[in-house]
Amino acid sequence: MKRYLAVFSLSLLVGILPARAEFQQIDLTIFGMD
Amino acid sequence: MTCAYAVRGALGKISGVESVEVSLNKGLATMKLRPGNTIGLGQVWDTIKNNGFTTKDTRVVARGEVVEANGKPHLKLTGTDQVFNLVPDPKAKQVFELVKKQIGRSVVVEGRMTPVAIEVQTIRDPEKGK
Repeated sequence: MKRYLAVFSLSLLVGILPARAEFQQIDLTIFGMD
Repeated sequence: MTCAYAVRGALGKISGVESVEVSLNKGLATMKLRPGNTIGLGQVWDTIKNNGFTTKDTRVVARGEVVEANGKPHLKLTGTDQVFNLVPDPKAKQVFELVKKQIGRSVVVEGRMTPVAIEVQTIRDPEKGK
């Protein structure tokens, strides 16, 4: 019963968490001002 | 201390950055970011500028939700509340047709960055292609 509740709670939590949204990689072309 | 070392160090200090590679010969800085980061491009561009360099071009890989505003698709990065227009890349216009079908869904897009828009070159499901 406890395991069921734990799995159910975790499933519910994952379902309401916002999907991850972010930059994963940034590539910049740069030049110097010497 | 070389300039490349200084730029790499400065970018690496930004919270959420996993690794930085800088090649001044190629004029390229590549930043890989940690999951859950809240990095904004403004702080990256400012860091480059504060270290004596100018950003000529920026390309990003970004994960977010496609939302519609004024009838046009945008990418919403909820971690930072940043919202970017999604526009077609002139060399990959067919990809943009896929973008319009992803409204309300989470995606990963790659493309050239402007201050307020991403020219989409590729788009994929975030759960695939890892």
